[in-house]
Amino acid sequence: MSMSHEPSADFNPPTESATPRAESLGAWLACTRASHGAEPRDAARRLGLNPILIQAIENDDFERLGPPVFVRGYLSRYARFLELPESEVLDRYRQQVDTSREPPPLKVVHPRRRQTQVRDLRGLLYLLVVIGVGWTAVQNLGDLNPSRLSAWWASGHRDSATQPASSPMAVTTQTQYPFQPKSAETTSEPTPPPPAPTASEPAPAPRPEPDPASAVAQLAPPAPAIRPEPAPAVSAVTLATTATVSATVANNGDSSALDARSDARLMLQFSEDCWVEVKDAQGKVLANGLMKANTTHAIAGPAPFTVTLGNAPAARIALDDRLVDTAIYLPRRGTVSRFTLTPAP
Amino acid sequence: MFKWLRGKFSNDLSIDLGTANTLIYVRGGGIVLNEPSVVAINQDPVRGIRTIAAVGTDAKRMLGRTPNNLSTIRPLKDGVIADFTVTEKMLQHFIRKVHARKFFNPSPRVLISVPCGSTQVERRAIRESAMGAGARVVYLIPEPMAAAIGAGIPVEEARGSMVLDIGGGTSEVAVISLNGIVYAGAVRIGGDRFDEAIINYVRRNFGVLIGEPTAERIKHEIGSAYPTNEVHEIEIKGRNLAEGVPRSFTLNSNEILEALQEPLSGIVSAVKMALEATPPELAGDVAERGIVLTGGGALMRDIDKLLTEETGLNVIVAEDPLTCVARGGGRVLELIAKDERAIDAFAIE
Repeated sequence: MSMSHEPSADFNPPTESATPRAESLGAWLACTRASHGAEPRDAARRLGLNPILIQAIENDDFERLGPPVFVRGYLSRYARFLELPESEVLDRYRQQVDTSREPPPLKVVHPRRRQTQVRDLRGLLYLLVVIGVGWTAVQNLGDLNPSRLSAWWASGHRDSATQPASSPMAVTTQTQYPFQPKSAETTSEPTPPPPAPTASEPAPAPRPEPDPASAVAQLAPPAPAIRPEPAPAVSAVTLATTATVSATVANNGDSSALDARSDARLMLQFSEDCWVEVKDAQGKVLANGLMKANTTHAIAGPAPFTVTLGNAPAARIALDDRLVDTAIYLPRRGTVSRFTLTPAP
Repeated sequence: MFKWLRGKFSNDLSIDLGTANTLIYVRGGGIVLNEPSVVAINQDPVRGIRTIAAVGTDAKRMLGRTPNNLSTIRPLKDGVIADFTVTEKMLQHFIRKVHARKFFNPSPRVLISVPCGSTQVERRAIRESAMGAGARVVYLIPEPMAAAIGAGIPVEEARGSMVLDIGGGTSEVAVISLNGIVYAGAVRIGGDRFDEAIINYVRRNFGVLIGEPTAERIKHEIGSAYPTNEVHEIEIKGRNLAEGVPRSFTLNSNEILEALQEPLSGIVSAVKMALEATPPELAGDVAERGIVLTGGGALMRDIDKLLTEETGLNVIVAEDPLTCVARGGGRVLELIAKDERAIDAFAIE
């Protein structure tokens, strides 16, 4: 509905007797305002409304005024200002505009659906990985030994670059760790140790029986292996069980490559359980683990040997058939002793 | 499980559980029930068992005219449940009444508008009551929001709109923008307080005791909130307190205006407080568009003039203000039927 005239244009103000029914609501209101001698701007200022709203009312542009509930408000206000009957103005509005139609449907703006569902699962995956790693670590904690790891790092890992997997350093020792109640037997071959002649008993020593109670570490030296020489000083001691640990170093079976000091021999005898670690000159671990009481262990390898004893007073050591005075290595406090044995020239 | 099955044979309902009247809007069917929230209870004098004698309009006819074994109860007070069991029975009665099928007990989805000033316990009571009455799902939305939607205010716009809902027990004023309530305030003043004020005024000034229905009739016929040159009169009957006999006398609208001054000033204060607490941008929108009045109290003569005079703002009485809340809830139900998640934008809990 467009107005045929502008409110501010020159038009004849209608008299009170003018028939308002003959014209539109906006025109009627505009005429009445003009009859009062008021400009649209004045009316807007008096009503506290935007002049555009007054112009929209007088142009019958009710869509511009917003929802019908507010249009009725504006019309009531304007009718009061123009001293027109509110009810009649509102009735004219209802007749002119179809107010019975349904209001527009409600609109709800949902928050944007997050597209991070996979990202949400990622956290769960991280958690599962961490749990898995932790579980594996706990399961394998028994196999972890700091000294073993350091030995591996110092020797094994270093040599792994030069030695094949089937290195002659076949440390086929049966090792019992303090936290491993009973170790799995990992001996490579049940090669009987060479007979250990004793002074008191010239006959060859009886073949040691594999005693599960004793910590037996056997090394199957690849040929040519250095056979440990008889150790009369040690063999004089009668032992309940005898086990021989021999460690040899051979570089790809080439015995000639052995160091000049590789023939040093170390005999360890224990009156009580004792945790022992013996490293040779190259840092290789020749023996590592808990040695049972009343056992004797023979170790061969390049000297000097670095020895760590968990229960030093219980150990007797002979290096190249010479008894070592371990008393000088006893610690002031505790029983753990660390020292290096160098064979006499 | 059976609720789900029965739900297939039920209509979604929007209920305006008011202190004075209960209105029910059926999705797709409009307002189908508008009855007073009154229940008549019959108490068996021998066994002492209480049974529901009448609900709604029938019960309201009995109000103040009951024998000893019958009592009429208004189970809602100040917009919240005062008698849980009776409210449940009343809701059950209304829900069954709006369902034509009698084979299955209806189990509809129900949307109930609750006063925004209600506590969590009061809201829980309303929810439990509706569930006990057979509702399958109960949604609760704030009354001013429902009233604004029912009045046709574009609540989703980024513009502030103020709505004042004067109900039977409470008057709630809220500023709404972007489908949310920016400010809401409620005073426990409504139609009941108007009736009470009229009863007290008549007793104090005329020495005559009148009942609630008479006070309500006076309010409807000559109640006015703003002085005008046009004076209306009504002849009423009551019991003279001094003589103890029924007397007839005449009241005019100016006397009723005087009687209503206190509750009306409470409502005006609530609106002024809301305007003070409204953020400036929204206050500018309200100043331009005005305040929309809904609820039965909006029908009081010249209450819009009173508020305009007191606030200087335009005050608009919504079309059919009595049903605004129920219709607004119905529009939300229509929206939920298309988009289930839409209730999140309006629901209180």
